[in-house]
Amino acid sequence: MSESQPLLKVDNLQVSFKTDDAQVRAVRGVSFDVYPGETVGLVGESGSGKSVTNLALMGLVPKPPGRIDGGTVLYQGKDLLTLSDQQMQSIRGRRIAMIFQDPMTALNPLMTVGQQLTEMTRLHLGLSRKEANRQAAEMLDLVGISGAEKRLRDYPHQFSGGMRQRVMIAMALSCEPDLLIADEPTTALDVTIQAQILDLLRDLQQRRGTSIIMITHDLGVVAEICHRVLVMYAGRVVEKADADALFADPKHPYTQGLLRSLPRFDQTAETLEAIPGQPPDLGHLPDGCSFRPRCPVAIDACKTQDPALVNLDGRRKAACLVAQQEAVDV
Amino acid sequence: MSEINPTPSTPLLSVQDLRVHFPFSRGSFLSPQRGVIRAVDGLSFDIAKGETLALVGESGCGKSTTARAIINLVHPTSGSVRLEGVDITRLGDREMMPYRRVVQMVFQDPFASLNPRMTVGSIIGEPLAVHGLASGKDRKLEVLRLMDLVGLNPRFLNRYPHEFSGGQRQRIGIARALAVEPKLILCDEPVSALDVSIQAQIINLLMDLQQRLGLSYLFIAHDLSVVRHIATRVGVMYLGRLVELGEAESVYANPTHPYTEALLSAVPIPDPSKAESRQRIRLEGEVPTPDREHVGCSFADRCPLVVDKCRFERPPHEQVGSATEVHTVACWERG
Repeated sequence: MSESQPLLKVDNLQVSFKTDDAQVRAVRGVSFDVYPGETVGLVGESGSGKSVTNLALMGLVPKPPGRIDGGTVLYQGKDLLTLSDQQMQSIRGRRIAMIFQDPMTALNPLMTVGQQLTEMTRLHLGLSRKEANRQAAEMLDLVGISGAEKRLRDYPHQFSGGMRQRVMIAMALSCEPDLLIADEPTTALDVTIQAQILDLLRDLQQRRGTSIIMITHDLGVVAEICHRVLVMYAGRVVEKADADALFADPKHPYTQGLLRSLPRFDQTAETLEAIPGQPPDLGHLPDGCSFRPRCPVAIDACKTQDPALVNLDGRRKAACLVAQQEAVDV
Repeated sequence: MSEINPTPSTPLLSVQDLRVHFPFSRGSFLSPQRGVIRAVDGLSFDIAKGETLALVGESGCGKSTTARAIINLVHPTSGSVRLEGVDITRLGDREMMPYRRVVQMVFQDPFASLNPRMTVGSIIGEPLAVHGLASGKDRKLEVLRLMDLVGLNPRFLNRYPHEFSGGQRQRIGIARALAVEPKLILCDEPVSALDVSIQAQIINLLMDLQQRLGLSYLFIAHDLSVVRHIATRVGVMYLGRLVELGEAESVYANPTHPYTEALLSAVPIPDPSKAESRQRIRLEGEVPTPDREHVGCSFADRCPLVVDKCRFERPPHEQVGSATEVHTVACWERG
């Protein structure tokens, strides 16, 4: 996979928002690549910057109060951050599509599902009404909605939560995008439906070779579907690794803490090892490493140095002075 | 509460054949269709002192309605809810007051369940005032004690809810519930709105309080990993009925109802090496709306093991495994 060219190359992305009392730096220098056909997981808690990162990729950061402070997002040699709104429109939905957490608010309640599905293909692919309708029915069929032709005439409220998410996926995939950004696509769904949707995404990826960026707070979902994982904390990537390596032997104390604090379905424990304290206030970040106030292994240097994301053993990178020290000692 | 004298064998809470049906009408104004949503449809279980019973199931299975019926926020259509031996389903608001001290509730959304115009001190102190338990300086001291108990800094006494994070707000909600010294706390998805690192803090707090105060919990959650960690017993609900009930260890190790099997096999495990080797049982379709009566088993329409009998006769709960195990299942094929 590493020999091929990355589909998307994000380099040192920085996004901030203006609030009443501070310039809040939501994304502070995030870099990653997405290769064709792979699923990259973006994991983090609320306020870690995972959703804002992806809004920036799609050119959807509201400005103001938002502001892109720097960085590049290279897609087919073009920097998406410098494109005009009009140029971006020819990529958004066509080349890079997105599915959202809540399918009820992401679908237009006043339009039939068919109208919403054909709107994009007619606009982006220039299909006629008839062709678009036929293609829309095919897409619904593909995502496992039976009686597709009839259901095109239904409105979103006539679908259940899981079915609506299938409609969202059908819509996102109808222009055959290279990259699908899925922002917490199963968080609002029940577990059995979540399993169905994850199966569907995996299956579609195999058939079409679509790359997926999966944004989630659920480490179980990451383990099920992602090839590589970025762990985010306070607007930074703190660990980047193959999924297997990350779960087997996490290196950053935050990742370690997250995995230890998780109640496990497959094992029992007396008490959970919670991470003490609260996620940081992005408007008032501490000096040095932003995880230091909650970190069990912090050393003096962590108070002053904000660690960079450094390669530890070829398979992974971590932004932690202690982990980097250990990697050198070994 | 001198009027309540339970015998030692009376369970703290006993729910018998509880039904909560909501009438509805839909369709046009001229040709309305009327029907009944059977949110809870014949549910029976007990909760003993000091134990945690978890109700699990997917949206619409009736787990939250069950909790609301237990504190008389919705009125059951039939069946009984006995608290320390007394049926509370027919009690009026005033007669209900002493029992509201026995059962308290902690809600899912710590952003919606605290009054934004009240300080933390007055939120936690309100139940003390309502029940006439403490006033003046005593009340303030009691509030400070409760804040300390749930791990809130007493300096925050005069702050407002918006100044707190989700986890801290959930602590405020727990302190409020503890104020009247209840014996049973109904926790409706108490950690599902919280971040992972904070979830563990609240779960640990709930378990610690249970040990120190001898509390019982009815724990409602859809996260089966959280339930495994906290529950003594687990009840699996489907369309308003319990399909399986047993000690947590036994249910997780030996899921017997086909629905329980499917539900447990759908939980993602945060370990890719295990994720690949797991056997999955995938259910087709989704949980239907409970708007029709099931003469037989409510799961029959989606069950991979269905036989004719399942559609016409309701399966009773039968013992699973050896007689010493506390574990029953309602299934004709597996019972």
